[in-house]
Amino acid sequence: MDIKFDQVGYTYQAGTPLAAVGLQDVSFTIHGGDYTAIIGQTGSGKSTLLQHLNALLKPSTGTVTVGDRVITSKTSNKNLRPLRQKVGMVFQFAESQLFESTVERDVAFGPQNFGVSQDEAFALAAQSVERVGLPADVLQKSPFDLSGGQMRRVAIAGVLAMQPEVLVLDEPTAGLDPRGRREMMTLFARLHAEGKTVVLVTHQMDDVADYADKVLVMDEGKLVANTTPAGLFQNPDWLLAHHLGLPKTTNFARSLQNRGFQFDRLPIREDELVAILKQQLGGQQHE
Amino acid sequence: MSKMILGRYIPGDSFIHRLDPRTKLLATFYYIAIVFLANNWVSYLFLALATLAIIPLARVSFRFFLRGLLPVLFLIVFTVLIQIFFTTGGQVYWHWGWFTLSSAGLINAAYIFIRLVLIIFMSTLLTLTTPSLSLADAVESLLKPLAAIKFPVTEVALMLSIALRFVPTLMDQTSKTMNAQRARGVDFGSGGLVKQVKSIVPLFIPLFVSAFAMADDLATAMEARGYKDGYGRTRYRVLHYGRGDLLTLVVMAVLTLGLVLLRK
Repeated sequence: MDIKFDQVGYTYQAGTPLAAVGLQDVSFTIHGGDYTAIIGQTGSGKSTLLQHLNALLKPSTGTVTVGDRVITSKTSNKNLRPLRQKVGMVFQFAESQLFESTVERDVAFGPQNFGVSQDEAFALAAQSVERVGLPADVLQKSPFDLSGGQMRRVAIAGVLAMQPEVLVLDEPTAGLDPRGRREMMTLFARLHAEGKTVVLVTHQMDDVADYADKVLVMDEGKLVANTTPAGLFQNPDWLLAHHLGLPKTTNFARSLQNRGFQFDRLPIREDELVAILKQQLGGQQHE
Repeated sequence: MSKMILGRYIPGDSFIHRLDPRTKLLATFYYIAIVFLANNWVSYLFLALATLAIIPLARVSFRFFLRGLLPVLFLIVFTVLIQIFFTTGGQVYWHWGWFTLSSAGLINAAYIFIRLVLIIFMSTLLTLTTPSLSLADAVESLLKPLAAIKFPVTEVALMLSIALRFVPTLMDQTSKTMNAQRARGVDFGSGGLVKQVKSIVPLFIPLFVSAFAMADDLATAMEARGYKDGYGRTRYRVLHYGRGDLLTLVVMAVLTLGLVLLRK
């Protein structure tokens, strides 16, 4: 399922003296099965952009096409459910959306809204809770008795249980411990490998380098780059000008470059760097 | 929310913006009181012209004032209709059962209409030009004499400013939670009554949970910074009267004098 933005503009509180531009002339295409990262400093329009993916916001100008659904400023608020089922959205600090008496009922809430029977929804809930790495006995617990990290996982399970084709993640690992972060990122990578389209908003350049195929850079409501992570991180000065950083590996490679190492292209992942260093340092191979 | 102009501050640096919030608060209440002095066309005309002369001083678009009428439009229309149909006296134009359309009714309705619109314009002027925290400061300052009878002025003022401070935060949280539940297939504001009431649960429970969490965090943060009670504390925003406030006093005196002279 492709997602296409065509000259999308969005103005907050349009028609009042408090009007503020959220998006301006944004055009891009995300193909089905892509893993796309969206980066940009705070207030650059990332979250505004995300909310267009499932019509929580409708473009003031231009069109958004998700699969065969076309959304314009005139689209009615009725009948958006099929779209919202296809595009699952994990918000920032998603644990704050939990409300049910048990984890099972909370995770089953989404599927039930989309017309799945209760038994089926509970089955999906059990599956999804297992997917996010929680033990089955949490199903009957209150979500409010869990730790913050576990609550986040329950919220993510609640979105997975909707069986979306597109998974939109708004800083899903913010505030998690390092292990939780790694496990969540691995889970998303696995879901991507299974064919889901993933859209990830993040401030972690390492995640962009390690997981994404494509990257969109937002600045002041405009799309300023639509490229691949390998391409993006060749340009450290441009990134700094847009208040963004480099992955740890690329940063390290740059310091090495200043001390005389040669790189045709700056590596963005650890394994790339290791391969290049092995080549240049020579030395014995330890099997 | 875009319709609820009451309680929305528009930043600016006009004469009215710079007035002491206590002056604005007292002047608004005083104005509402003296509106009731007007009782004939001349006095209402005088009052309306004076009000329309004061409003541009705030340098806020007049549209905001008109929009301030929207939330109470129903009340105004209802009151005016009651006046038109239930006041008797003067020449009767039309009569049906309990309903009477008379000249006294029409005149009374017009007076009431002008009165309500002027009162709302003036209170909108107060809320458009005064941040709610300044209003809380003004209330605290004006309540101070009550401390003599052991009224907990600083505590009440603190509660008031905390409550005001969290209105935007809670609104923000509400829209976030609504979006999150919409993304999970909830349709707010559609379907039958039962369905609509049911859709409140996934909104309110997360809101209560986060409100309690925020209250807890705030209490911890205040204690960590040594908060005990409000007595003897110095202020960041110090209120003091200026020349503008004196001018406001004069304007209010002139208004009162004018109304007293013009009324019958």
